[in-house]
Amino acid sequence: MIVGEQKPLEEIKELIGDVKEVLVAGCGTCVTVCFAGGEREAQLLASALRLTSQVDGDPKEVTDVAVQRQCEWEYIDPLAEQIAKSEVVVSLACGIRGAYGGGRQRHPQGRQEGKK
Amino acid sequence: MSIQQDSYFEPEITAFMCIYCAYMAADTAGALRIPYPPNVKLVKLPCTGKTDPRYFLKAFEDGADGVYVVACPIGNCHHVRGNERAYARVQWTKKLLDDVGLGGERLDMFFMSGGQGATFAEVAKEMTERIRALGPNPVKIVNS
Repeated sequence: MIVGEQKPLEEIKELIGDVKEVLVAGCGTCVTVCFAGGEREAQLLASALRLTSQVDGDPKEVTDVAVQRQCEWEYIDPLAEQIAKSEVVVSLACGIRGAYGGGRQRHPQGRQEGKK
Repeated sequence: MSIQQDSYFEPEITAFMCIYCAYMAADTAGALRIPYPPNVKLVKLPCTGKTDPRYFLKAFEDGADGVYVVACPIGNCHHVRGNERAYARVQWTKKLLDDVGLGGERLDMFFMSGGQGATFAEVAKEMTERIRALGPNPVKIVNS
């Protein structure tokens, strides 16, 4: 099993930068059982990002979602529409999700719009 | 922070309470006619072990200036360790609130038994004064 660890909020804020629409995507397997990136953590991070962006005077639209597995296409395919609507996807899953490139390979729409 | 400076600030405070000792303490305060600030809105939970950092953040997102949790005394939880779990969550969320920029002092937890109506009123006054000194929730100012 892969063990995940949460990044500090400050680091996540720096990674997100100035974008306005953010999608926080949790994963229901390894990172859920080590309390690093499941549905609960995704909701918490989204809430914390909304609050901190408003405190900083730069309100962001942060939504959250969680799927059963981010390491299988079948489970992340349904996220295509939400990914296309957001400027940045913060995946709380393990490195496999990163290797999948945020779902871009399978979703030309996302690739054409230059999603990160 | 103009709201704080321009007018007298009445904080809005959310209190999460267990239905056992905490709510009974509120009831005792009422039965003994002990006044406490009307700024506090009570949210009844089956046990403070039901609390979640998401509840606290949601309260702040919805405009609460302060949040606190009232539980049975340590060792007297009706669900054995619910209050200890809640305490750990409160401590974790206080640190997160510091990181977010709201300040962890806007969140706190208190323990009391059912007969401590005066303590309940005292805690409500303490939190109201503390939040009044801290000023309004910055999120509320941005949204207003």
